[in-house]
Amino acid sequence: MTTATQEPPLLSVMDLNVAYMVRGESCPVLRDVSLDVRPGEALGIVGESGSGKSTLAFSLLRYLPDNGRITSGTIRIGDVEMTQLSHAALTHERGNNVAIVYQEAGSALNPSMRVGDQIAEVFRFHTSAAGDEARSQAVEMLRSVLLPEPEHLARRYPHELSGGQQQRVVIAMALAANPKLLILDEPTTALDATVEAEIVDLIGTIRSQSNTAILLISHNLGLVARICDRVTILYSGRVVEQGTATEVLHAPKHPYTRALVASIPRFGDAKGTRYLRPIPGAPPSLDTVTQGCRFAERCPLAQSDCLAEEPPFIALGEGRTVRCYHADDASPLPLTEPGDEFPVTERRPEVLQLRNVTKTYKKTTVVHDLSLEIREREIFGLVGESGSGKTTLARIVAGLVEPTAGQILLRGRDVPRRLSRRPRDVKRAIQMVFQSPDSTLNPRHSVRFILQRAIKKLGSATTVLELARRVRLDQAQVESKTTRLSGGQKQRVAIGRAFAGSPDVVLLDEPVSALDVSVQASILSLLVESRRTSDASYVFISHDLAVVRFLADRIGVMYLGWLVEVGDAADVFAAPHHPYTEALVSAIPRLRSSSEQVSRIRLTGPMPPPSADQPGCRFASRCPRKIGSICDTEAPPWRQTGNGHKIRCHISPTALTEVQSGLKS
Amino acid sequence: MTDQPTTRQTLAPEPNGKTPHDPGPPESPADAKANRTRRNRRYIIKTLSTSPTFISGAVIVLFWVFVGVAWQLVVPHDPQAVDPFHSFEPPSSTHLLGTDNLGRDVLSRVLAGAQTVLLIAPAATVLAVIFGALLGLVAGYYGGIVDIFVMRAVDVLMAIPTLIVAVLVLGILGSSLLNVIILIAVFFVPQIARTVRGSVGDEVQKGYVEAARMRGERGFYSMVIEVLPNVTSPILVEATIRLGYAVFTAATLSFLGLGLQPPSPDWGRTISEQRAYIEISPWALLAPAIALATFIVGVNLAADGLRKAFK
Repeated sequence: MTTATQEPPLLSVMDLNVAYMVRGESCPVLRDVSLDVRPGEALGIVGESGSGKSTLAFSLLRYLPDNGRITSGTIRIGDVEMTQLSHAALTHERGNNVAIVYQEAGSALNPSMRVGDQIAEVFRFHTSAAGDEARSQAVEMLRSVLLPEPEHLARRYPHELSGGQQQRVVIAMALAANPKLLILDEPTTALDATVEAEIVDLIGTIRSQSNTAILLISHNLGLVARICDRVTILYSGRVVEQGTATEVLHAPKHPYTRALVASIPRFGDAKGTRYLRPIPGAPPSLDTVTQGCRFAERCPLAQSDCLAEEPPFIALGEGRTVRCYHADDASPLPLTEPGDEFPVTERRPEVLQLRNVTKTYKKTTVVHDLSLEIREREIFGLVGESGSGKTTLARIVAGLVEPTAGQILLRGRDVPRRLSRRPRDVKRAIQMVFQSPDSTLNPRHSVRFILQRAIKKLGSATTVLELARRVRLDQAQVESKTTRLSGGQKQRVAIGRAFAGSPDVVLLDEPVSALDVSVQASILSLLVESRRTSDASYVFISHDLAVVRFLADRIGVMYLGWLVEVGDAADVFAAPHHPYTEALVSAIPRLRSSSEQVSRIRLTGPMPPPSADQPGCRFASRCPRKIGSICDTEAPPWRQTGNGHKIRCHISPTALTEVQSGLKS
Repeated sequence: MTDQPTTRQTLAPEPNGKTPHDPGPPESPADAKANRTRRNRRYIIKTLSTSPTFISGAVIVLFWVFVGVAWQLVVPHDPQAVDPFHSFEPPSSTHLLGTDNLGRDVLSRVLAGAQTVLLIAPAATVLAVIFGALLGLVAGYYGGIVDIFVMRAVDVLMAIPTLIVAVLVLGILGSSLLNVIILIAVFFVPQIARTVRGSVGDEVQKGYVEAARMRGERGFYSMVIEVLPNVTSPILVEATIRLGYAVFTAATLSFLGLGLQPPSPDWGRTISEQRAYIEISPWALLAPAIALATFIVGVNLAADGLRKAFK
């Protein structure tokens, strides 16, 4: 990872301005963006939705949509001025010198073409290779992105590959013409944590083997910290801070960067030890004209000069600049939301019990013989990758999916499997918050109507305004239609709706994964805070382990329908834990990657077929700690480690502690 | 600020059909999202009012609607007045489109004939939309066995050859305005049910419908208050398309003598009657045929405009 400062930059963007024509008016999206990427360097562009980071990626390749226009500025890649290129020259430039990888690999590949042929096509187009030569080069490419059995894999179609494999193929295609610059636009956002870790490894390998420069666009600070040498923070179309990854992410100077860093739960953070600071408000819409700093309205440190004139870049050191008048103001950001007294949950009575719950679709077991208890006032985190059955489990409890077998008990009373059979009181007691903020509320209804109806049907004494106040919605928002709300506000309404009848258990299915990190923080702190006014238990489902670790009192880990580990949050996150949990934990992107380098566990084996009757441990095929044939032939037993923590594994907890702590130290 | 479907669509379209590049839905500022519904409605109105397709279609349809309602005010002669001494007269200043075999004024009969079409087609369409939407809602909302039962029944209905059944049913029950309307409505229910079923199927998987179920709303409430308002656009578009077909079907039935009986000036009926005299007085045949054609084209143009605006 060289940061040779004297080398001429490979990519040089100077004062780039991009505008979209919206309703006949020019609407600036990027303003005076300047950045450099040197050969072999990795630059991270960080920004939330609407910051213009994707627009930046597209303008570099001149892939802007029809209504987008580069109004001024220069983009130089090597010796080529991209803004002046003809169409034909652009086509040559794309691929030969610059390549881009998009977020969703699945739709970047042609579903009707074998993946080997798709890569070979790149060789045919950009090099002189043809026929068999191109095909064998394609296989080599697949090998270089560390795909197993590349000859065999080249003959497969995209739908036969997993999401992670598809993304590798797309990266292989991008690298095929040996570009000098590789642009990665949210390359892992759609992937599971362990797969994301694999892609991060791959990017590291690529960087060590070639001199390809990388421009990584992401909202994920942990990912950027792991891959990039330098970071550029984008806010509302402006670069607000630039510098090395370590400096910017560990000692941020711009209030926005500081707020952003403070709003994400870091690895190991728990609600008892740390506040999450949401950033109040929302970024100005792109057509809003401001005189001063774009962030001033939300900035706790803003003073009158911030509103009067936009601050210039202030150099803080070699390659480190901040667009803020008060960057030297180290005063702590004031808390913007009321804090929480972090009640320690003692062992309270069980409110919800699942006994041997199983769900099979034809021959596929989605949830396998799962037993679980949720205690009163507890936040129970349910983690697992896609396909683990965690959402199905929540929907079974909610009554939206009927289990094939098993029993659900609410305070010892049997809960009917079908929603329509559940008495009103049970419906009131079990409520759910859904993942997508855009479909969770009826677009034809007002917030007031939704809350009013929920109060009426779920029967409680609360009023609409009282409910709205609890989820921090103001009067104007209550009266508005749901389509006028932002994603975070919609999730607040959804949470308010679930709390209308003072529920006993609230199931939250990835309630923050579609939200920006700063908004995510406000929802998480709302959930923490609402425990003061409610006795409800939460079942919080997430694929984001840092978030679950932050929020949950106890955690259950699922793998392919099996519950493999359950226990107090701190216990689950420390050795001994199930080998799968171990892999998940090691895959969490850490902001402080440089100082706390943890060797990551790679899951290499194939996923087992989803058939129902299979002896042995479901994780055996990928388990890095597999001890022998017993893992394949016998279902692992539950092993207690005390404090209610149990692990489903053939390896004894003491042996697990040994191997796992040996690795950690 | 003028009209725009959504800010996001315009600000971040996909270049060359590539993938979405923003994670999740935008957390865009409240004021950018503000007025989206209203803006959406204004966008539809603006698209419609600037669409030549929709405007020309609407003008034609409105013309015939006016004629159908007020034909008694605009006809130059009594459409039923028989004048055997002036049969087969070519167009003249007294009879602008000439006279037919019984000496009746062709123009008056064409204008008066609009009434039956304008009664049968919309009535049949409305009936078909009501029952089709109901079936589609029920099938899509409940899913499972209900869905299978309803949709297979609808498939059976679709497989029946329309005209043969029409000949049978109207032959047995006798032809009346009401029977024709009901028959056309029954023929159109399957298509509408399928369209609605498709849209409802997408909606019921959304959180808001599941939230309604979880708070114990009855199926009927969920269907009508939660789902129905979100599937009105496809229903409206489907209804306009069906309207065009309904005009056509009504004319076909009349042409086959299964619709209204003489001396009704109904267009299909008149075409059927006058085709025997095509060599003597083509105007008596052509006038209702052209009227029918313009009306169907008008309805279809309007439907096309609507479909584009709702996309």
